[in-house]
Amino acid sequence: MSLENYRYDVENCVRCSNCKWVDYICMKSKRFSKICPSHTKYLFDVYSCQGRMDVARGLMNKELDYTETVLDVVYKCTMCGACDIMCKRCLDLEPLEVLETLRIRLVEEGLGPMPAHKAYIERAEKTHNVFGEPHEKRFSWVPQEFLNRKDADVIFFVGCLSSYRSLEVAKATLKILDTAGVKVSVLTDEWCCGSPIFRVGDLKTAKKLMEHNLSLIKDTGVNKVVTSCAGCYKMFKVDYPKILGEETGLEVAHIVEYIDKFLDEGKLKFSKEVNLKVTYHDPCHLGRLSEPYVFWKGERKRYGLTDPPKKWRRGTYGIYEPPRKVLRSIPGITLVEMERIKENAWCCGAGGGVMAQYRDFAEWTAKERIEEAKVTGAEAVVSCCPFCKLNLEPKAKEAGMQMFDLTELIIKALGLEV
Amino acid sequence: MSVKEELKTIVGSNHVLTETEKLKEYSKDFSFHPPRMPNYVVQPGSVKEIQEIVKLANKYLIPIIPCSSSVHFYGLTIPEEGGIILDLRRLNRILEIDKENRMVRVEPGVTWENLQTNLEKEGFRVFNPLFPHRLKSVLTSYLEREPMIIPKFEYSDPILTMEVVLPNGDLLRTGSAAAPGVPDETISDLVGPYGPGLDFYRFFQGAQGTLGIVTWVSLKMGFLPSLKKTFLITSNNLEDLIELTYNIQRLMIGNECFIVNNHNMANLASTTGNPEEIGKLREKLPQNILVLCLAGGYRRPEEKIAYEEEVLEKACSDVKLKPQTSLPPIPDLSKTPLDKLHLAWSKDPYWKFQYKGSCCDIFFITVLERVPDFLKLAYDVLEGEGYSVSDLGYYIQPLEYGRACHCEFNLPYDPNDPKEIKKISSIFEKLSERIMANGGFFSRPYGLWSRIVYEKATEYVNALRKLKSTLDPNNIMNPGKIYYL
Amino acid sequence: MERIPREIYHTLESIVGSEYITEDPVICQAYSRGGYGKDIYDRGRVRPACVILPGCTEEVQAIVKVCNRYKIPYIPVSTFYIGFCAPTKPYTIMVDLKRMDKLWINEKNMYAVVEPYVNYAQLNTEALKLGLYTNAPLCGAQASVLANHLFQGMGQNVWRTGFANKRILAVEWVLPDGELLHLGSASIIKDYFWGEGPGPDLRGLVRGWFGHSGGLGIVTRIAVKLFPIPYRGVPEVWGVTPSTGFSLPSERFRWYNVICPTLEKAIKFMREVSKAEIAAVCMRIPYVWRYLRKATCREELWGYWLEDKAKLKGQIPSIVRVAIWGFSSEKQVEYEEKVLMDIANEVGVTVKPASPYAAGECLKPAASVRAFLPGGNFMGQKFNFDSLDHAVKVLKSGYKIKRKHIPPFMDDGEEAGWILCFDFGYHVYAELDYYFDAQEDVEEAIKAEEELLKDDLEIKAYPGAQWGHLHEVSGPHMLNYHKLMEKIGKTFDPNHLSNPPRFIGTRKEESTILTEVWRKICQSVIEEEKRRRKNS
Repeated sequence: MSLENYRYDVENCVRCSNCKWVDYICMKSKRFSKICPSHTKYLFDVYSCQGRMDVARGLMNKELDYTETVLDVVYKCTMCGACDIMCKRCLDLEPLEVLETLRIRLVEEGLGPMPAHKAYIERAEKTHNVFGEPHEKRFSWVPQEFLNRKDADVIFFVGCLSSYRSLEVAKATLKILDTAGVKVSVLTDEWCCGSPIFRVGDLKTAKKLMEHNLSLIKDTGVNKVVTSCAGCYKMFKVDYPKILGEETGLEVAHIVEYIDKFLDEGKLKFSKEVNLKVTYHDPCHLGRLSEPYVFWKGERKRYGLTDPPKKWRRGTYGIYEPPRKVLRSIPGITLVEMERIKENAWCCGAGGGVMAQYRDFAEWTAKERIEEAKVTGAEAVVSCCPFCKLNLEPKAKEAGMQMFDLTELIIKALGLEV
Repeated sequence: MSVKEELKTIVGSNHVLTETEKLKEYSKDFSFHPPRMPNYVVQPGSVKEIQEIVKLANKYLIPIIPCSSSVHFYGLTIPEEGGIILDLRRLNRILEIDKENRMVRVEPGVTWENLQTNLEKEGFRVFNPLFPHRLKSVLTSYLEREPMIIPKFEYSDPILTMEVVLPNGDLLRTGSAAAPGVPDETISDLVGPYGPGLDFYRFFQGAQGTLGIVTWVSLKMGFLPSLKKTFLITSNNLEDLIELTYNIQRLMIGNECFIVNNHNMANLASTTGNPEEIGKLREKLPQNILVLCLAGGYRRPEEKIAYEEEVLEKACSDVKLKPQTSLPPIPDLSKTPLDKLHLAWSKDPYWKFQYKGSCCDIFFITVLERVPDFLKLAYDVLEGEGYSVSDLGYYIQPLEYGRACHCEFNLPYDPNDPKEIKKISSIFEKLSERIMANGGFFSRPYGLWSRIVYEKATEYVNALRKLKSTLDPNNIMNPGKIYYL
Repeated sequence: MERIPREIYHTLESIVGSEYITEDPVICQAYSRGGYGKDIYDRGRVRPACVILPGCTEEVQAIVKVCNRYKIPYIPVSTFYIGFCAPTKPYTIMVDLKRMDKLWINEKNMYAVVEPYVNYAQLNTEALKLGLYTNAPLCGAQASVLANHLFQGMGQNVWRTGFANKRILAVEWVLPDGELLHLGSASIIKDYFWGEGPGPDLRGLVRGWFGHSGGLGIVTRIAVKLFPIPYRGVPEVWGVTPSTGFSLPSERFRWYNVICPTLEKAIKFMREVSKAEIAAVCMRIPYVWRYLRKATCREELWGYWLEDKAKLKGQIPSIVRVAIWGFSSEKQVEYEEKVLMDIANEVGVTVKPASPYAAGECLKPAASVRAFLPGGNFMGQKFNFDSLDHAVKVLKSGYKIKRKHIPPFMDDGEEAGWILCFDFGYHVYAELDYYFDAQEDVEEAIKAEEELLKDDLEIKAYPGAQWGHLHEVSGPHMLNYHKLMEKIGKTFDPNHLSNPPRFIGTRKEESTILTEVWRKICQSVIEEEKRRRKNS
């Protein structure tokens, strides 16, 4: 992935500012009209997607040196992809891939990633999880019958965060799968999916982790993978093929897709009311960025026409409806929407290595989201990603709101406990 | 050669007046402005002559005061520092009537009477103030931003393009009239107001002749509706009518729309103009009357009036009022001047002067909802000064869909009674100052207003001075007319 | 890298605080190019020396005063979509007004007061909740309301709302020398409801046919007119990106595409609609825009377009977009629809109902950036403003020139272009667009720009391309208005520091000289700084 490959995308940014605002048609108030956390917080234009395109151009054209500020500009971004999707309403460019490539470039130059990122990458290399916890602890919570199950139909890829920090999500997910009669297996040799590492530009390490995980899964002979984490989900579904350069051969699903299907098929039936007014936060990696990766190898011809014609991921087919449908089907739940939803969702602030390196920025972004949630009158915020939950929960509590992962509510509605 | 001789060389000896009697005519008007004599009155017959006069004035540093009307109400053409009155009445041609583009182009000497009667024949009109004096220059009315009685969208700003002799004698044409080859060879139709470069056309509006001499102006004109229906909606409570006006304007129905009180309505509806009749009529009329004229469109006029009438009925009933086509004291509107709201006041004396021989006007811009406050203020001042409150006329003209309004107080007085003049002068000063202190905006600061307004608007004056010194480095154009400038 | 001397930088820093100023080249890099008109209007661009983010008018004023003291050029930017704000002079300070984003709406008296960083999407979103709206520009709802009112002002609704010049009410303005100026009612009573006066209307300085592009100081606040719309609320959104829209109640809002077999018929149709004073929107749209709007990608656009163009065999119809809004009642819609059909039958054109979701694109245009879709760059040209006849003449004449540049320009089969009527057709705007390859055809586009302007002068039309260096080209043919602008520029911007030389291109010499003067003044400071750095 060379920056030079994206020269066209960089040079053809037209500075229209679409990357800074929610889709105007969908805008519901001035208060919640912005979409880019980085630009909203740091104000200088360089902290917007269009500004970062200028930096990329400056670096490519050797008008700029690789300085500390370049690092600051490139890493103070949650990689939420809102800019990318908003840009693609009008233009055929790949801004998010430029941002990804910029980070890869910085790592190649020996400058990136940032210290906190380096620390968790080092931990991941040693212990296979970003927290540096003992690997054995990863699956200590899993009942024996689910570990490396031979007759499995589906592999539940738990992910670091669910395994070590948000056990409630991991347990709930497993329970749901089991209740629905799925022959589910958790692999004891699961490693970090590599998402937090790839997100900050360390392609090499991410690739190692990917190769391990893919070969591990391949050995089981199972080709269905389900995740409870939006980060792992996008990593498997989008980034693995991108890094690999070919399809992984896996059928990747997020637990919410399964739940939706199980409800339709009658495999799950709710027995308890969950009396709660909730609002739903779309995780970026489950929503606008979750469309399958599209392979394209070709070149830009005259008028910038792509040859062969490229198919674009514009965020149209993100997983927006299933979580909403599931929430609405839970007895007692009232779903009220925030202003910025689906492809227009405001990021929780955790992504892109921001939570590790720029705690204040992550918290600020979360606070902004919770303020938006509060306005809806909801009692609780629900999401489908342990990262979102982790980052939003403290701010939700401060605002007197509860925070749930969707799986937790499903468990309640099923009348189960984890 | 003397200045007089040089002037004669330019315009011909018939068109340079220096006799004291003649000059005196230009030294005063209907306002309280102290009389001041010009040194010369010059009547140019062409733009070229104007340019030469201006160059001459620059050479000798003689002030020039442009003058286009035969009647003046606000002292604008009374010289402050002597000089040449540039009487533009000889330039009185309607230069073109462009029906396709709904544009008419006129010279400064074209009067309201002349223009509207001529356009009426063609089925057109320009957008007019409330019964302008028949001898008033149309061009001056527009340059002075007199409020138009149709508050539809931008009709309050109907100037399209203009030609101006700048204070140094250069020519400038604004908007699309700046195109090469204007007026004969261009393909421009002279209807685009903006540019070139800057919106120059704005400078000359409200400038009281201090920034240049406009030699022609092209104006929007509209179809004279083939069908119309005028309604009177009355209430003794002004607030109700104001609320209704807001609603009507937001619904965007009707053409002419304004509020007058009983005194002004009596003036407008009187068939004789006799003060006694006006007095009696006034007593029989409700305190406030909203006049709204529904006009049929260019196509399907009946249907347009029909749906607008339905909307009007509903809007009125929402505030418990009723639209009427006549009032008991005015049984037949078609017998009154109100039947033809697009025309100039054709009779003598002028409508405002009928009651007492003269009239002092105080007008300013505000928002409709604030008018009742200003009215209370006016009553307060009038009572304090012992002026009969029932003689007060007021006229409220919504502007641009009711976004703002022109609020005008008319104080009739006897011009031959020095005591009354003194009283009116005192009221004028006190009321103006109180209106200003309470947030009334004198956008056309004449006479006394010029001082009280610009005293406060120091930033604006500073910028105006810069502009004035750029355009008129020798301060030739109507010097002293705008206070502090 | 040319740095501003420390003393001056620290003074600026003390005005806004260190958080809001930078001279880091990386951050400054993002202020060095324009988007619309890139590589064309921002030719000769350089990276600015400093970016500063004032938070209020007082800070803007202080910055401008410092700039005048030390003769440093500055450029105000808000959304910075247009290339006219790209710096071309050394030591330029970019005054990014992003922190100034307040919006107030006066519902009763129908106006909004906005600071520079409020965009149309925000304004119309909030205004719609109150039953109000304003025309949103065709360039997109992300445009700054303030900047757009000062520079352009096209859009679907100009049919009723008029051009932006007339929608400006009171103004707060930091003049090029740092003096503060309030226009209209704000000049005395600090209330923004009225724009004229007192006395001569200085709004004439704040813009012209085009604006001064920050070449005459920094406008920090303006009141703009709002207009009634028969809807109140937040419309429900339909669709998902990139195809989103909203509709408004069909009893009051109807949309039509009027298919006219010839340009002449389209003009006749528009003229009759003008006379009838009906409708809320009436504008001619280039035919290719049907494809630009609907295409899911560039390749599809070209594919469908080339296929259909071949089928049409040069007989490309003129499309007039019409909307009828029942401002007063449903019966108004019925009435206007009847009149519209009368006219259509008379003229011989076909009225087809259009998607109700056109409402979204009308009030908060989002798809406009698709103009860049065909080739990565495009240019609007002509911009003439006069009558319908004038529009047709300039477009037809311009088309002959455009033809010569096809290829490399995309053959959009368009003999005319955008024709927008203002104030029920009293004024008419004409724009000719050409789409080209962003990498290869820029020089060709620049050539065409100049040819098209010269064409206006030749056919004795009113040239629309009125900015910066182009005044110099047209001025001599138009009573030398550029000389007057030059005088005004010198009076109000004696040091020629406000986005030089964009106000009037003929001042370019002087500005260089002034920069030289500044260089000399500051030489010692620079030397000292160099020594200090060397020693440390």
